[in-house]
Amino acid sequence: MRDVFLSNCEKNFIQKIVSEGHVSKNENVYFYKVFVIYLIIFFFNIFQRLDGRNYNESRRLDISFGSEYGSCVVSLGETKVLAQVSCEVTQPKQIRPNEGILYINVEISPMAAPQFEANRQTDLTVYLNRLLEKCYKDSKCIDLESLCIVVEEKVWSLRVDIKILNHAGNLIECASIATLTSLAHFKRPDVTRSGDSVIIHTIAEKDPIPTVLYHYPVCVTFAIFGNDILLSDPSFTEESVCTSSTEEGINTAGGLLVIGMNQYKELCLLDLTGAALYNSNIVHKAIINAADRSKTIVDLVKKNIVSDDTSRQKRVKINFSDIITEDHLLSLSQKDLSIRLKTYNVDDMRTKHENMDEDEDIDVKPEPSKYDGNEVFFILLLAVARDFARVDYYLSILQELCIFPG
Amino acid sequence: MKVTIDDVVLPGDFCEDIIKAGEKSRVILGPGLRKELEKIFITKAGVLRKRAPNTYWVDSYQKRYVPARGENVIGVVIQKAGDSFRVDVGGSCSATLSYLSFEGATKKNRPEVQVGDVIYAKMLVASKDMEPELVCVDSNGKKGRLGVLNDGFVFKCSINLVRKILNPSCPLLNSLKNEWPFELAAGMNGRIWIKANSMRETIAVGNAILGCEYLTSEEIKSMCTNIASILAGHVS
Repeated sequence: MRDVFLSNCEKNFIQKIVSEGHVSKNENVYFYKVFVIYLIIFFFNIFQRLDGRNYNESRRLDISFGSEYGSCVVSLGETKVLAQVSCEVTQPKQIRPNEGILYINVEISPMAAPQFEANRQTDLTVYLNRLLEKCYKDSKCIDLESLCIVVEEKVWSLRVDIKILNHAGNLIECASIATLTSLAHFKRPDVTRSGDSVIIHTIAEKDPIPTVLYHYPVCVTFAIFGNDILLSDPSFTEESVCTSSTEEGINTAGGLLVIGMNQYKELCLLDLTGAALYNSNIVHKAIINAADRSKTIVDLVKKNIVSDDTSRQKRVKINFSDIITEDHLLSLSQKDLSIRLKTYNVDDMRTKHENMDEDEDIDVKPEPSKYDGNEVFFILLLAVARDFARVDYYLSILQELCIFPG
Repeated sequence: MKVTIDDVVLPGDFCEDIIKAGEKSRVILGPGLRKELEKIFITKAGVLRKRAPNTYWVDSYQKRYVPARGENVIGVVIQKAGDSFRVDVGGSCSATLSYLSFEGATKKNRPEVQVGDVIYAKMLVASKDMEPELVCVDSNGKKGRLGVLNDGFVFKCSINLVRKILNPSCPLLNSLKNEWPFELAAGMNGRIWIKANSMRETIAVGNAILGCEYLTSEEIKSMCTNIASILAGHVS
């Protein structure tokens, strides 16, 4: 694998953005407005990142299934991963004669990013493989005993093949969601035993059996900057900036923190790359964030599998052709920009233009807010003066007044 | 399969129109075309284009850069090696940039370039058997706009997008420059360097450039005014 070279200006720019943020407000403001904005930033972390996201905002997650059981494409923003589960009957391991076997295999081809070479293992491949095995094998989320057919002779061995289609940051999270979804979606053929012989039924003969999952763990990634700032779902540049070192070889106190957690908020895995942490609060904060995030991911995965199941029962044809979008030049592509102002919306441009042919003055100007910065300031000052704990409440008032949307 | 001009083509297709034109006069084969055994074969998926009188090429969507002579590119210095720098331009191998190919540089007076700096340079040598070579001066020994780019931000995009915004008929840069001041250097290797007065304005430029990839000229104009109004705080 060739190295990816990060220029100084990218590094500085990202670090500056992360530490200062760019606020979705007019910059040419008076002092008190600036003060208000900084107050809010200080308390509520409404900083934005390069692509217009908040610090704890993730990219859009999409899951789509292929025609076979256990095949899915998961996309997290522009990062895309294909997962396929397959099964075969093998002899069990000597030490565990009544348990099935689970293999996880990760492949990264030059399709993902130009720095990867074909058919060659890189550190990243090994790292990803190990991390997923830790998350799914060591947490014992799969009932391996149910995969047993004949003790000491025949067991099912499940193999999860992960193929990275595009690498745009946060491979770990995307690959783990793909692994989980494909395992939960997979169904193995039914088996009957009569005496010594074992009959494997085809799907047409007998309904296949789904894999038993005790719990659904997912890996969530956070980028740590300067030992106190936490970014969820880092993009490729953010990942490389936070793990990069300065010219003297000193890491700028940043790193990637991977947290594996299931829907019951139980910790399954913790992994840190980059500089050592001296701030234990940040791990705590990350775990709290990860709990919410993993819950939403698992809910989405379950919802998708259920809806896929019902449409399969109705004999709807399901395959990957659904993810090819017609309104975009590249199939699989979403319309997220890697550099974006928060309030900019790609879809707006298109629809606005189309509407213009029919109706000239369709774009309604947003009503200017009645409450200018002056009043905002006083409401907040009031809040600060009265009770720190209730700033939240006052901010919600402000939000209702449409001054600080989002 | 036999194809004609303006067809969607795939690798392995061949075009007889070019052969016929080649019998009468010289033709120039651009990227994606290759002469093999008296036939012109297509080597890339895309649209076969012709420019009068005799230039043919395949127009394809591409992110990977293949160095070509005379193009202005943006690279990152990755190493100081003896009397030259190694520069990553996104090609299959890194390019070299001599210490002496800066304006006013001599053996004693070395240019101030650090590892990690972003450089805007011209491709001097780009052949398929040799390492590409860059220069930061023109033929008169003047630097012009080439050289080290300080501050700002560099991002990657598709090569088609760079060609699109550099096309004189594209209204993007013309309408953006009326809205707020900024500096921009577009490398043909799919990297764009931008710099504006504030971070937010810099991001707005990047947003506008990436946003215009699939828009028509009219849509680009309305997008620019939209971004400018977001920047000014009228739309929230």
